[in-house]
Amino acid sequence: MSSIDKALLTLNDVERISSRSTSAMSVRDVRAKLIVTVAYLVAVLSFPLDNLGGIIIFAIYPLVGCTMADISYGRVLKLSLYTLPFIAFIGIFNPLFDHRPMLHVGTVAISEGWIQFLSIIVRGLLSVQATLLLILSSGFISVCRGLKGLGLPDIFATQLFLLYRYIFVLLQEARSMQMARTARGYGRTSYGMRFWAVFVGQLLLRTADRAERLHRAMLSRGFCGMFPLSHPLRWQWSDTLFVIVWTALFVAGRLCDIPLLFTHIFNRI
Amino acid sequence: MHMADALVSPAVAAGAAVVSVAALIVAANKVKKSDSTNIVPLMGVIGAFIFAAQMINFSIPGTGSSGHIVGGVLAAALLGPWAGLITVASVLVVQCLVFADGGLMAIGCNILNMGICTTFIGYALVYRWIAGRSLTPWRIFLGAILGCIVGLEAGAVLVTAETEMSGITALSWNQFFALMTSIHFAIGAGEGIATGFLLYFVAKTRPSLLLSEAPAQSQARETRSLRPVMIVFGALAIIFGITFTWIASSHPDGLEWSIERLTGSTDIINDTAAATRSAFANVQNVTSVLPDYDSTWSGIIGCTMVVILTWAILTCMRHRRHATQTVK
Amino acid sequence: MSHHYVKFDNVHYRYPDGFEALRGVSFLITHGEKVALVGANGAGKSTLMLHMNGLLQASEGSVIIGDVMITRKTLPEIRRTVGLVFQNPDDQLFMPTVEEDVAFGPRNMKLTEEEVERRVSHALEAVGVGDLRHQAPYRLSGGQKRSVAIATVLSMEPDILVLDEPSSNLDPHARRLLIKQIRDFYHTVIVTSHDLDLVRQTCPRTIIMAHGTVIADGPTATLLDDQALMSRAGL
Repeated sequence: MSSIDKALLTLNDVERISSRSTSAMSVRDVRAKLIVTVAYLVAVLSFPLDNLGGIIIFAIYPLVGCTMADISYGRVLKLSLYTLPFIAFIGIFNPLFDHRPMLHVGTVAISEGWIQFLSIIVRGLLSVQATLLLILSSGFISVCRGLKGLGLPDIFATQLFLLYRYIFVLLQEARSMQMARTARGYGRTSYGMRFWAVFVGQLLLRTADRAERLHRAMLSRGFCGMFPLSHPLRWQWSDTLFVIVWTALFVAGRLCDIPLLFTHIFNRI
Repeated sequence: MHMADALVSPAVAAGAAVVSVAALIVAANKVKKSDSTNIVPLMGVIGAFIFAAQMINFSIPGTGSSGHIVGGVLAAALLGPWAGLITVASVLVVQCLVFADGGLMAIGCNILNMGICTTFIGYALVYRWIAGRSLTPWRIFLGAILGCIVGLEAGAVLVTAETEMSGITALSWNQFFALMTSIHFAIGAGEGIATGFLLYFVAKTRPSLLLSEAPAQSQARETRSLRPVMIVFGALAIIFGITFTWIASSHPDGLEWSIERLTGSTDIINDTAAATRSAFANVQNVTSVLPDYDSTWSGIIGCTMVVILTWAILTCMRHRRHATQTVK
Repeated sequence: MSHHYVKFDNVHYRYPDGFEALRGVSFLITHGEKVALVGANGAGKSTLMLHMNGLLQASEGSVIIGDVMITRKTLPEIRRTVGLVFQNPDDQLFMPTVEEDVAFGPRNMKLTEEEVERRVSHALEAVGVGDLRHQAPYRLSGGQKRSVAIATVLSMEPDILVLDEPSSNLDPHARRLLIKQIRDFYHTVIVTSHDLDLVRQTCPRTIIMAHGTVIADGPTATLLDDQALMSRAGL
């Protein structure tokens, strides 16, 4: 499957999941979800890397959030795993350089580097999961409306809407061009630079023509430079509650030494 | 080059976000002021085009591997640096939100590294300086290659700085710097050649696409009006760099630092931690079965268990709810 | 309303690259008429169409829409009067949802939100897609896209509706629906099309173009049955 197909598949998945839902998470004002997501990210990312346990406990938010959004956590987990290689690539240097022993499994010592490596992986996965939860329970367009509600300039909001709309159109166009090329490609799969330029150049010329037609269609309907964007967001008291409860939990989870709590509990047992 | 959330600390993310948002606001105002209404649909579809073009790989001669473009210099060559920046930034937002490519917290870093560096340093300073006046094949190729390399290298330097300031990697400044800049030199050269071929194709088949943005006269004016802005950006970047290096070096933990700034001390954290500790200290003294029990270990195991338990309970709840729904 | 005639008087148009697409086109379409504009590719139909609401302006000659001559000043008024539906609905539907797309025109006209809402519901009902209101455009089928594209123009309540190749890429069912929609409009309708069967079913009058000029103008049945004329027009 080409990367174009994969991208279309992902886009359609996000659209399908986010549009059908009327769950407890989906009906929240998207601004509330944005604030909670950012609060979560700040809390998780501000942990020192040594505190692996403290980071792990934050998996509770994506778990509960997915349940509230009626999305399978397994799915979100799987999606977040795609980002693993890049995170692992940067993280792997920590165990290579940092050999101070930190943990013991029987007689084998685990170095601080490995704990940091695991921390990097976990915080990487959790932050991606929180973002996925936001997008899957809201949809891209809705998140953009939220951003606009929080002060994103109109020009940029318009750009995001148009971009998202035409990504579908251009990916399909690129795919059909690629199919036509593959059909006559006699098994060659990659493009030399020169051919790539002609291929992508054709796509660019078509794109420029499309911009011209689009502009005409806009002018025909009274467009004079600004998009009339009006889609009122509705903030309810339950949104305030949603923000307060989660933010309070994040702050508590960040400030209280939860792993220490378990140490004591275990020792008691 | 997309930075994940895992690699940045909140302080660095916030600093980069401030710079990027400032740049975007200036860019939005610049675009709003332009007379032509056709820039709006053009930016929209060119953004989608850049996105699609990134999906089409070219083979890198002599290596057997393939690469794709980032597209910043290309976007700026078609739209000008301001509209180009907005366009690249919007592509990064879609990649971040829909494709989990680059994190939500790191979006400011990514716009800075891949948007501002390519459209302003790669295009405005390098490409336009070389190929701005006349579009001869030589100038196009030289401009594209140097523009892409310089743009990406500038981004690579910033990636290094941001990651090191965040205190995540154990690699030293020098090691990480060498790694990032050498990788991005190769990527920049590949992208530059591809971009050169593409711009050459456009210059041959439809030169109006490249020239419409900046006819000679207004271009000179724009370069002049660009200078104060570049100075402001440079100053911002330096202030940002110095401030956050200082913060990062003296306060590796950003949150604690900001709490300290807010409340005047970190006592809150210490107090809570101390309170938890003392509350259980007595219990531990009396009942410790395994006095040498590795404390980090049990903390990790305990937290993991809670998470797994939560997952199990929630999954059961979800299945039960679905079951009752289907019965109904 | 009866003033809303369309008058082309010896219109010439030359593209910036020097190609002369229109070479003296003249005709008069009166209010409530349904007229087809046919001709081979490159005959100048699309160029002509772009003149009807001032997207292109005649190099020579004049275009008059309901007593108003098209000039830069009169453009907003002309664009309210003449609704253009383009060939590819993907170029016409650019907003995140159907509802916002249909509201785009009315909002640009700075109408009150109540009036916008009334027009959106009305336009969507008129083409029978009220249930698609909250859908995103890329999730629609070809026929649905076409209907919504027409609704985006109807919401501006134009007096003259211009459709460019409305039946391209439509399945037979969607096409039948479209024919019914065109017949039901009480506006002046101008259709450019290669679909001669659609032309016969919807438009009593036909204008045939070739090489930038009008070569025939008359009752649809008579013109389309004239084999010599049709082959001269390249149809």
